[in-house]
Amino acid sequence: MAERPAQGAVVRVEPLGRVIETLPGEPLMRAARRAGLRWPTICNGAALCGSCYCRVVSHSDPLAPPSPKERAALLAVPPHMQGPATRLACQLVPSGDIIVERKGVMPVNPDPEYANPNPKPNPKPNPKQGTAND
Amino acid sequence: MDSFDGAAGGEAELYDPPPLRAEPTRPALFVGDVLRRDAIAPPANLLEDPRRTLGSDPIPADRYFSQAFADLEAQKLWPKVWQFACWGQDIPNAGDIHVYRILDRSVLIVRQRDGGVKAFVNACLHRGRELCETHSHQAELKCPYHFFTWGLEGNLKWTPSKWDFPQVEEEKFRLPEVRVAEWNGFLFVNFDKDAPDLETFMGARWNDHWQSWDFTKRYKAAHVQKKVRCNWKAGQDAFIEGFHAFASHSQGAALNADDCGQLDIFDDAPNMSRMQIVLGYPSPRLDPPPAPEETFAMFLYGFMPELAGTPEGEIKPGEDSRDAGARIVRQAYAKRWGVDMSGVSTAETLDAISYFMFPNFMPWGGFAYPLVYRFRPGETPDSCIWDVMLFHPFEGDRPPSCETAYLDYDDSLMEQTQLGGLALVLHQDDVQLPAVQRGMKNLADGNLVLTEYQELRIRHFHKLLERQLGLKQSAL
Repeated sequence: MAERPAQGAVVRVEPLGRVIETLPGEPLMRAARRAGLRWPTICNGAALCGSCYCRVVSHSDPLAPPSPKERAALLAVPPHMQGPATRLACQLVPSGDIIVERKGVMPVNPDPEYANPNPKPNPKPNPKQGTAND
Repeated sequence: MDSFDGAAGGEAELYDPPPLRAEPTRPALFVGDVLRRDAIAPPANLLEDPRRTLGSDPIPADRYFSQAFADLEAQKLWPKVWQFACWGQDIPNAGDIHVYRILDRSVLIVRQRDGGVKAFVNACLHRGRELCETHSHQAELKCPYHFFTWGLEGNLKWTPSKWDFPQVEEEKFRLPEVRVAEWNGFLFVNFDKDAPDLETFMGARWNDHWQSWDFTKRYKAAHVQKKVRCNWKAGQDAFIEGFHAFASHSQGAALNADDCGQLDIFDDAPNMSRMQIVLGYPSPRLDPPPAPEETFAMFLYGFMPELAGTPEGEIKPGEDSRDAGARIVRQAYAKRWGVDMSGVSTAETLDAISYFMFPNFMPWGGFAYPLVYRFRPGETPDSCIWDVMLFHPFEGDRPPSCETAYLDYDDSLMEQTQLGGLALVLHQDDVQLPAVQRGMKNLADGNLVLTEYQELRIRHFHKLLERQLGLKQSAL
C-alpha cells in the first residue's frame, strides 16, 4: 500500500478553473465533492468504471504510480483520453501543487463566478421533451 | 487489500461515499422515439416493439453448474436442436471440410463438388476413429488409422483387406449423414431426423427481420475462439442483456443509452429474441452528463481520428451527437471498405441490434456491429467455448475468411488487435465470467434474481430451455 502523503494538495481543476484543497491522503474526487463539485463517475469512487479520469497537466510533488486496480480501470478510459498523464480522480492522492484537466466537472450548485464547461446541451437528448429539431 | 474510494491513500477510517442517485423509474428515453425522429428512417422491423415480459420469477442457479443439468442438456438439447456449426465461406471449395464439435459429438461439414454441403458423423465405420480432427481440404475422407476411404458424398471408396470384411456391403456402408441447412451464409446442423426444418424453426419473422442484412455480402474478417471458465449459459447471458454495460463497460456510458434499451420477444416467433440500444446519446446514469462533444468524440476518435480539428470533426449546426456520430461512421465505412452508407438508416449505422436464435446463435443486425457470438459447453459444466466473429463488407472479389485465433483460458483478448475496439469490451466480459461462475455456487438460496425487463432475454432463454428439456410447460 502506498505511503500516505504528509500533506494535502492545492489542485486547480481545468477547464472549470476552480482551485480546491485536498486533505493529507485524500483522493482528488473526494476533495472535489467536499468542495461542492460534481465529478463524472458511475461507480461512485470504487475504481471500477474509469469515468472519473482526468489529465494531470503539472504537479510539484511526485505522484504515486497507479495501483493495479487503478491500472485495470484506466483501460476503460476513452482511448483518445488515455496516456501516461491520465489518472483516476477517485484514486489519485496528490500533494503539493497540481493542475488537472477534466471536462464535465461542475459545481453542484452552479455558481456564476465559474464558467459552465458544458454550455451547449444536446439539442435532442430526450425525445419526450421535444426540441426545435422535431 | 483495496479500500473503497481511495485505495492509494491507505487511510484507517472507512469513507462512506455519498449515495448514488436512486433509480425508481425507467429513464424517459425510448428506442422507438429516437428511431422515429432519425434523419434517415429505419426499416419497419426496428420499430416493432412488442413490449412483452415474462414475470419476475427467480432462475435456479444450479442450472449453470450442476452435472445433472448438464447431462440433461447433453441428452435433450444438443442432440435435438438446430445449431450454428460454421460460416459457409470457411469451406468455399469442393473438398473443404470443417470439423464441428459439440460435447462428445463431432460432425464433418463437407463442401461438395456441386457446391452443396453435406454433413457426416465424424467416425470411421470400422473402429470409430475420427476421420478428420481439424479443418482440412481433401478429395476423399480417409481414416488415418487403417485407410478406410469414403468419397466426399459419403460413399465407400476403398476397403483395406476387403477379403477380410465379409460382413460389409459396400453400397450400404455409407457414412451416416447429419442434417445440414444454410441460413444467410451460416451452416446449421441438427442430429434429430424428426425435428422441423431450420426455416420453420427460425420462423417467418426472423427472415423478415433479416431481409435488410445480407451476411453473404460480407466476409469473415476476424474470428477468435476462447475457452472460458464458466458455463456456456453464463457466458451467453452476458451477450443477451445490456444491463451489465454501465458497470462492466463503463467507457461506453458516454456513447450509448445502455439503460434505455429495448428488449423484444415475439408471440409468432418463439425461438428468437432481440435487443436494441441506441448510440449517440449518453447513459442517463452518467452524472454529471457529458457534453454532446464528449459523446461525439467517441465516434470521432473511434472511427475517423484524422478529422479531429477539422470542420467535419465537429457537431454541425442542426445536428446532435447522434446525427454527427452517424455522419462519422458513414464516412468511416466509405473510407475503410468503399461502401456507400449514405442511404442507410441512422439506427442501422449506429445502434447495437442484437438478435438471438435458440439455443446459442447471436448475430447482430444493422451495420454498426457486424458480429456473431456463440457459446458452446466445454469439458465440464464450469467451462465453455466462446466464438467471436466479425463480418465486414467488401467491394469486388470476396476476400478469404480469416484464420481463427484459438485462445486458452488464461490468454488475454486484449492482444487480439483484429477485434479493434471490441477487444477491450470482450476482455472486460472475459474477466467477469469466471467470477460469476464461482459466485453462483455460493448463493445462499440458490436463486438468480433477474430484472423483469432488461434481462428479459435471459428469462426467455430459460423458458425455451425448460421447453426443450421437458422441465415444465412453457408459456411460450
